Amino acid sequence: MNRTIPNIGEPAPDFLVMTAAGQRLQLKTVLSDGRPLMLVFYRGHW
Amino acid sequence: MGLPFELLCDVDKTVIEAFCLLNPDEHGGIAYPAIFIISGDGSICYRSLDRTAARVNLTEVLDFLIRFARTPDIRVESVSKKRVVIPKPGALRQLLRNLLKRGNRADWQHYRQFSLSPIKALFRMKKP
Repeated sequence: MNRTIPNIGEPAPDFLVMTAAGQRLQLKTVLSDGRPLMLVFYRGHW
Repeated sequence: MGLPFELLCDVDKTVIEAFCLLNPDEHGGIAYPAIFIISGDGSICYRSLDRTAARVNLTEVLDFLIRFARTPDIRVESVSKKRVVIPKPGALRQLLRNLLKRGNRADWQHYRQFSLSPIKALFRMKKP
């Protein structure tokens, strides 16, 4: 699949990720209440 | 931790790869720094694609959030960045140490791409 970085106006790719508290979080669940969110990527590594 | 937001741990790089932000040159693959603001309908209304030594000014992000609260259909691509990055002596020593010990070229590559920052910034300023 040839992906590119999502552009302005495009739908954000859905994802499922673990939180620091050990819970699972899915993007579409978070957005289901209609509130916007801010996603910040940091150069973290383990 | 009592943070007012969720801290996500993308250990298997699922989110990084979904957003195509994987930097394969550092630490076995980590994210390029970036900020996305996603509106309630799931579309991206703000994005800032950053690099190691050039991050968006957070006052710009805050300014957008304030405008977004008033006008939810606003869409912005961030173009303002730090224009000049001059590595501190400690950073230069670390770059050299990384090169000699680990063969890690990623750090100096980030600084290399910003050696033309003042010229690029001049061209960016002319855009409407």
